[in-house]
Amino acid sequence: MLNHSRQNRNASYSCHPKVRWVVEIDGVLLIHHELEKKKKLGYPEAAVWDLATQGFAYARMVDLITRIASVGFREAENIVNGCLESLAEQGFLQKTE
Amino acid sequence: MANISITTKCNKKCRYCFASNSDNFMEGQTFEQTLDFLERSGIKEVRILGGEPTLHPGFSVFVRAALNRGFGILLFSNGYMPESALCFLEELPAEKVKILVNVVTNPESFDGLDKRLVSLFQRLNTKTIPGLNIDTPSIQLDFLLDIVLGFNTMRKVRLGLAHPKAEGGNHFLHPRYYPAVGRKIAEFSSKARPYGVGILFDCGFVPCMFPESSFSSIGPEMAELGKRCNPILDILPDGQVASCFPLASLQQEMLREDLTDTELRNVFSKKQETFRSMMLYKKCSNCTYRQHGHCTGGCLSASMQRQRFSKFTLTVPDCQGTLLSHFF
Amino acid sequence: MFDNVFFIPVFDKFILHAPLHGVTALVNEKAAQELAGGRTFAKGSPLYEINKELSVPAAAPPVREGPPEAFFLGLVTTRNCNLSCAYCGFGASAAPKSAMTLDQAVAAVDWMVENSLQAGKRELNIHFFGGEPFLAWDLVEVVVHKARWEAAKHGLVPHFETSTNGILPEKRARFVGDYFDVVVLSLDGFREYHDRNRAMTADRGSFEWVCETARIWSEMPAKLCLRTCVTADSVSHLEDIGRWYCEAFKPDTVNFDTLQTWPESMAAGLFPPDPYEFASHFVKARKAIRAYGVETVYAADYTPEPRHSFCPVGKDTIIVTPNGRLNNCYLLEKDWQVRGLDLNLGAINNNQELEINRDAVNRLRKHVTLKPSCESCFCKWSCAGGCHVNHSYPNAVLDADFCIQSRVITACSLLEELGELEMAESLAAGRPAMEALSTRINYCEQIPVC
Repeated sequence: MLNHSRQNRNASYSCHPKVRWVVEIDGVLLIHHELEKKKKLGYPEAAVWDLATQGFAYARMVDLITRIASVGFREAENIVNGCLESLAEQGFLQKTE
Repeated sequence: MANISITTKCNKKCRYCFASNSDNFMEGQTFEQTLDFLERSGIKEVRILGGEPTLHPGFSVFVRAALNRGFGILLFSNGYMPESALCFLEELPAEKVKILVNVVTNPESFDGLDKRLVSLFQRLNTKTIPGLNIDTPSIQLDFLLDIVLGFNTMRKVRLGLAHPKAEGGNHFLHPRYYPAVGRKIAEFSSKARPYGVGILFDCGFVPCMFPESSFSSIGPEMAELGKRCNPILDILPDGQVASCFPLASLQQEMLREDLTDTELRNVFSKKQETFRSMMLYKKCSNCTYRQHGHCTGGCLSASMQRQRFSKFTLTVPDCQGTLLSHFF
Repeated sequence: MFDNVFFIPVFDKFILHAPLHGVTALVNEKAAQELAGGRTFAKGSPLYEINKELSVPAAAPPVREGPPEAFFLGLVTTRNCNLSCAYCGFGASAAPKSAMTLDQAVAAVDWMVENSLQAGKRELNIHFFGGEPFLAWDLVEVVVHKARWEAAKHGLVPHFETSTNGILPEKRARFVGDYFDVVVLSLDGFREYHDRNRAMTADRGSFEWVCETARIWSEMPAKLCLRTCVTADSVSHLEDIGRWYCEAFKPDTVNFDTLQTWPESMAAGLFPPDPYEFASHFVKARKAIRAYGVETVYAADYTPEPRHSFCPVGKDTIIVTPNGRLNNCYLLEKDWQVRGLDLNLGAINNNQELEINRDAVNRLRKHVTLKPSCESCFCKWSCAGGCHVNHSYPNAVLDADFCIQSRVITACSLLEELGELEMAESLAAGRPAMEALSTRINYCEQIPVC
């Protein structure tokens, strides 16, 4: 797995204003109204998305992901950072550094 | 199929209505262009809607124009039409004109039917199909059968579900109540069938709303019910075309001279591709009706009500490892 | 003559109710006497078919056997609460603020996944209780996502239910509306009753907030059940309350149950309704609510499927308490202990493993089948003796009020099933008929109608 913990430092991720999501039985479906594209998030990414929408701070989010994914904190950090980075690359999140 | 809304003006204030009640009237030239569009698309029937279409000052002229060009007419009315329109419709041949009367009040029984509607059904009898837009699970349906039998209307009733506009704002039947409505329709169907009275289902019905034991009494329509959410083309008074009224805010296209209905439908379908993964219920994604091709997941506009948005910003701090060590 | 065949007097007739045979019929006194007396009937007579069906021995629902198969996993996330309800018997306002640990919750979910798979179930069924379960919000997030992930991995359908007071921020309410399948929201009717019963503080009621939450959930996917605790002074307004619920919100079900008397409720001057009044207004309210296409629920009402227990007890349900105990009931341990009951099934150990006492599971499976006081009551396979802690504990004196209201409501439900709507209404409208119906000792014998 890639180590994303460095590349995200000092970055903020915001939901793109044209992105909507739908809770599905096995994940979350993201819809980008402006780019007219969709992305289905399975787990653990769906949990990262939800925790972000609920306003959890980064550190607490990583902590909860360790429980949800049954992994250590470094791996949880990687999950969170990888998810954020990937969604930013695809335009669902807007990244500012 | 394409629906032509010749006006948004109405004399009722139905809480589920998509149209804003205002004095928008389709111009004669636009109506002619619409007929041209139907002609080049090979469509034989003009479906005239409103608002209340009989309130358009040129209503009879429009109908006459369509008839002169060889179209059949299907008129959607709430039944509260001016006497002039009623007289006009009385004179037209039954084989050319059908009037779908959406009863906007829901009387508990036939006896509660408004006098004006009684008069309309008496005078237009065999040209009419009584109908109901369902926006509450508390509906009573038996009065529709009474209308069919009491006024000798066509042996059909038309049922529609009140759908939400994509942008919200109108009253609609929440999908949680679909099964309750489905049970009532199933009961009604078993009463109506012995009289040879069938149900015309509008779009948005899904098989899972009906008890499986009722499938045979509902009849052959059942097989197609769950697949009816496609661009049907609603042509608005200004000549713009929407995929359907609930999705009008999502996309509108101009009625161009070079387009047929199939081409226009493809334009809408392409735009909607992104949204089609959304379905009415969370459980739709592993539903056997859908997996076996009996359902596509209900009304797209109703499904879109499940979309969420909230602003959030997540800051990844510079010193993650240090912060995290706090928790371990 | 027959086993588990009951004769319920309604005016000058009897409801013949044989829940294990799946037979219910309205018969006159003569027919009831003949059926009960074991007469033979000529082929073709209407009673012949009934008699034939009743003559076939019918089996009671099987008692569970084998390894535990949890009905659901219950999580009492915390006993803490953000309301100070006048009738609360959970002692919630004084309860410890602590919550179950995340490790315990994760262990419970893992166990439930395994248990569901072993039992060949399709659903992963998890219920949240409190106190107010959503005060332990991090735990709810972890459980929901962990369970959804595990369910997706193993082809299970996640199913979440909760009981809640609805006092939570909008963002969280929206999470619940999207991720949960059933939400049971406590709303005690109109403002005057609700704010008196369910206050946030001495001078602030919770009515506005709860209504706002109910409005949010009305528009969301989760099924909404509005649960109302009925008291002596709210009982006469049930029909209006039911109508208001259906017009102001979009409930799937409305649940009316009567106040359970606790020292706290008596101290607050709150009393349960007269059982006849409750039954009468419940039946009327159910009719009013049905007109909106909404179902009305009373916990001990008739169910077509015969059952040994109307609650989680005896069904291998694992309910995890905030301190990691595994119980078969979500009530406080002290409440069942004073009734001579042991509803504990084990505990989560220090290695975060669920240790379940199989003997305790088997004992409770059997316990729910032993209700001698209910033996000759026609409600025995639906009400099933009611709450094991409050109604049918060992050596319990039957709660006459509970039995009266349950019997009248059950009889009305049976009449409605038979299409005898007017008779059901008449029954619920007149106290003498309700008394004649509900105060018998033995319903197995047909006794002449007085």
